[in-house]
Amino acid sequence: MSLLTDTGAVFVRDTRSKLRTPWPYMESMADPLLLLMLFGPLVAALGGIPGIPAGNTMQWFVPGMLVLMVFTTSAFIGAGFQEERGSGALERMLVTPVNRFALLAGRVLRVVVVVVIQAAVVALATVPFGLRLPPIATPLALLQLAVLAAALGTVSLAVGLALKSSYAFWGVVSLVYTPIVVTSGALLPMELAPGWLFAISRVNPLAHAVEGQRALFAADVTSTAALLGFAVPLLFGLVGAVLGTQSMRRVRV
Amino acid sequence: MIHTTGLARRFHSGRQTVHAVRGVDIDVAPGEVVGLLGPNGAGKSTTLRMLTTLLAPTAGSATVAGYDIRTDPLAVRRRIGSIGQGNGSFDGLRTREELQAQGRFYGLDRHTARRRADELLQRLQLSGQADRDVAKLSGGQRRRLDVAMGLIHRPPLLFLDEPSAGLDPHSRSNLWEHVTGMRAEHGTTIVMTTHYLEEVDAAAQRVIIIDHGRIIAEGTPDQLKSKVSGDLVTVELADPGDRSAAATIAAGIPTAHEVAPGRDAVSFRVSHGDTVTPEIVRALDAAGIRLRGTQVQRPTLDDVFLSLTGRSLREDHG
Repeated sequence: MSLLTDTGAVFVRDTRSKLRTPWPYMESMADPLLLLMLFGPLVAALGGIPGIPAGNTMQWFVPGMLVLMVFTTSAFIGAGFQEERGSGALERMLVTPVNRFALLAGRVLRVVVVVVIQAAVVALATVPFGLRLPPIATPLALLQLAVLAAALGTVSLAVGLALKSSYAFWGVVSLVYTPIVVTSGALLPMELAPGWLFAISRVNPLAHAVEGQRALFAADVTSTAALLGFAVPLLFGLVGAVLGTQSMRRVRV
Repeated sequence: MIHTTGLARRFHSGRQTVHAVRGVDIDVAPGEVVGLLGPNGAGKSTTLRMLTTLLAPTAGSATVAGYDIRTDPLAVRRRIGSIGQGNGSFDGLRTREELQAQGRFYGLDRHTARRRADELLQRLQLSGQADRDVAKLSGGQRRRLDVAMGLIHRPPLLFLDEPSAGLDPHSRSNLWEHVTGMRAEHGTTIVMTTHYLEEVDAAAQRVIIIDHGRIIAEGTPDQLKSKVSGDLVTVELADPGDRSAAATIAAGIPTAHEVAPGRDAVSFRVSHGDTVTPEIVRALDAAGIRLRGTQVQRPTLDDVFLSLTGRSLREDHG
């Protein structure tokens, strides 16, 4: 009971503070659309690459863009913690009886809501360019993106709590950013990758999300890829939730 | 309201172990106002952090508002208000929203949170700022919002960590007016730390002096000051050449001690400085020593700290 109401209270506060400056969300929606316009034609022009089904490039390309958008919206929210910690805002919450997991969950919930809206907007915007939206699979794809956002957000918050300075946080981000984006297979299929690179992509939750999204947008609801697209981010998020709640209990402000 | 035994906390930084708090025994009765006094790094804030459940002690035990800080931190959090050194409000939210959110964190329902928020905004003279972004508040207003956030659940026990740091004198006295007003009305127990000795002197019924993580003295401000033996009397000399003669005369006064000849003044401690002053003026006059002026200073809490440790509280934070 208190977990739900506490999560709600954190969610409301977090949403109010962030949505008054909505520009970052607009920007992160522009990103996939720009990639679609600028990089999409290049992929289409390559033609007949292993991993990309012939014919409709959009159906293959858009799912990857959605995953990248979820990544930029949700994976960096942990950066806010250093500032809140330095200012005293986190301390003021920690002296209240508010549930420690709710302090994470409320923030994650905000990102999940934002991501679902963004994904719906981007998917609808690409329909005129040839994206098909399969009836049952599309809501499932949105749900999968929500799970991914929750997982990435939770892990990001856990990392943000563990690192004491925002320099350290952005340092970690710039280290992992390129490997994560490249091995996600969002831009070019991982089927092209040499064995070692493909192996790396297997431990990248984003790669499983991209493959899951592609399966769902191909209306392949019961495939292993669709299932892994749910399972891997979920597992990743659970680890983040446990570690994050622990460090929230121990955090020194 | 508070009872601690041997409460201690050490930190490890690299290979070094820092004993921030080395076993303190504190008892605070309901309704008391207690000030923790000590230089930077003395362990005041670490002690407060343990009592407010932000930091687990490495040794000792404490019950706060009736509950053990180790075994039942949640029950403690529900019953205490804590106003930290920083600003609890965060840019991007409006004043009323922040206050309501804090109420919700304490489990108040939406309606109650809203009502209490409005009440507190009015009491703390923030009604005009209710719909402004907290980033646009002045330092004093932001601090009053912090106080409001600490009071939204009407705690019987309130912790204030350097509540007036960084405020101008006007905002400081305004803040204290509010805090003492709340106390008069609700009988709230208050534990505070501050660098401003005048504030402790004026507000605290009891002072606990902490140095190097230990309690080195405690009592009412008057009790503590009486440990410093006597008032400080200074006679300023018209002719610096008279200082050794003046010092000899001063030393001859009953109870006078710590006679210290300065460049063009002589100071000494003596009990009842007020009555001694005319005496020494007459004696110096009789010896043909001309004076520029005299001063009598009652002992301050800084003198207390100085006499206990040989250091001034003020040295550490200019």
